[in-house]
Amino acid sequence: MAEQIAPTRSNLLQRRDQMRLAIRGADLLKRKRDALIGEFFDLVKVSLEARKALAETSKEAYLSLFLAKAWDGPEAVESLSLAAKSGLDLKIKVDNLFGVKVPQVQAPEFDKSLPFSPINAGARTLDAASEFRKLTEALINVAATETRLRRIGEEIKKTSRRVNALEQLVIPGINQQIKDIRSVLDQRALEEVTVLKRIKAKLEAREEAAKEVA
Amino acid sequence: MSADYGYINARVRGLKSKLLEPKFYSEALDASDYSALLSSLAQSPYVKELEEAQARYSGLKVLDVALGRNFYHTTRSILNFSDGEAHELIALMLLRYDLYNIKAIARAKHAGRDLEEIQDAFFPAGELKLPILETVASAPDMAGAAQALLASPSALKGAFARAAQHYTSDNDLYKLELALDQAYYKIINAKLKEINAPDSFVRYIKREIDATNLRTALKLQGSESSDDLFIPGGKEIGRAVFDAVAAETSLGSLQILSSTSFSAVAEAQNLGEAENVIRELLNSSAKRLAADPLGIGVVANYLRMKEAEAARLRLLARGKYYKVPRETLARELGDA
Repeated sequence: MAEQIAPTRSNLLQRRDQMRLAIRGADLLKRKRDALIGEFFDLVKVSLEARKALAETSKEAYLSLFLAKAWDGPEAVESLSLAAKSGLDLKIKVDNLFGVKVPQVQAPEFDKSLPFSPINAGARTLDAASEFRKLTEALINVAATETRLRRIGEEIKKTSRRVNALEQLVIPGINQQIKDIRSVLDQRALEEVTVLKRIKAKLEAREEAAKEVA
Repeated sequence: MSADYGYINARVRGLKSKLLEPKFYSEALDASDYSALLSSLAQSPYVKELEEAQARYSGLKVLDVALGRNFYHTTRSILNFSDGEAHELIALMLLRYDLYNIKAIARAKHAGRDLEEIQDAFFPAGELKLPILETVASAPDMAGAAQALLASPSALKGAFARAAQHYTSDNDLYKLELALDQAYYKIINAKLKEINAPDSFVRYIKREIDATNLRTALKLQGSESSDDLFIPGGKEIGRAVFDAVAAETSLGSLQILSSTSFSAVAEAQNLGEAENVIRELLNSSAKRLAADPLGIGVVANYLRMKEAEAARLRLLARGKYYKVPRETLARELGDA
């Protein structure tokens, strides 16, 4: 149901101010959306590169694990993996991109010193461990890029919805209200003119009658 | 301490005849998939262990478990039919599996892992049987594990107890493992002297120590060396060579090895290839040692061949499981 507005001149002025604000807002949001889309497409390129790197690193890592388990034995690989502490501490910084908070995940610095004795530790297993460190870095890189991409994508959708709401709903609504108020005010002005004309006519008629009597 | 090498080696030759023929590998390379490989392996002496493993596991674990169990049964059988000096020397050769299992327990205790996580890392082919390993692994901490191991017959129990005592103060797994490694080789050298082992076998062990030192030095390339990483008792790879190899930054610049029988290592492109070359050199040494029909070399050579067979089968199984191209698999298999 449309909002009932008193058709007053002050409301008309208020609606005109709202109209100017809505048009300026829509313009600003469109500019924000365009900037985000530019950023989005730049990130898409980076993200595709990161995915490609992940696929290649993953292939290398799993092949090295495959060879380590075959040559050094699955038990030896399992045994060496027991020494590694599970879990990874990531540094996450929040960037402000056109008002959008996007996380920036930094790949951790891996401690490359061995927690176990290298004597009798299989070279293939050590190679697999090194390949899996690279895989973890590639995985974090993909996660970081895609999280930024998703955040920016969500913000583009949100901004587009706002622009659409302003352009398709708010601005036409205010426009209609302005039209309605103006129409009522015009009608009132016309009525006033008519009333005044009638009064004037009556006064003139009264004056004519007075002259005739005199 | 004498031994009936005639009888022992005859039994080992019997076991050797059960090793898979080269024909098996060429046929296995053409197997359509992993299941087909398991089916053809079920026609081999691995049938019993495969059936047992298939009843409990699936996927690659079937083959891994079957190979582990088969190796365990084989080593038990050899230990059972051997006596005197031969028995002592075979137990000495299998001691490295005890070291390996104790290290697995130490790593798990260091990282606070529970028994379930350790079980896949056990390879009970040495003196320590699985129930003992599980008891030791069930201990709440390193000191408890060392205490539990004291009740076992392991030659490494004293070394583990001392290393665990240091560990309680410094919490340094690296130092603990180095102490165990050094103790292991000390035990080997002391035992060889104690039983007055044949010269040919002592030379073979010295060569194994050389190979271990060379492998360690290659892994250290580009990083700092330490006194504890060098194992005394080798013949060709002395401390100076060890330090020189460790100080280099690439495999190609290992001129120092040219005066040793490990010169071929310098031609390897990477650590994996270098390990293959070293393994081949050790295989040749074991083969030469086996030339004496009344010596321990027959057993040493057989154990190496058995390990190589397991590596080939693991490679084939993974290749078929992950559908690795035949050429790639054949190339890798060629190194086995």
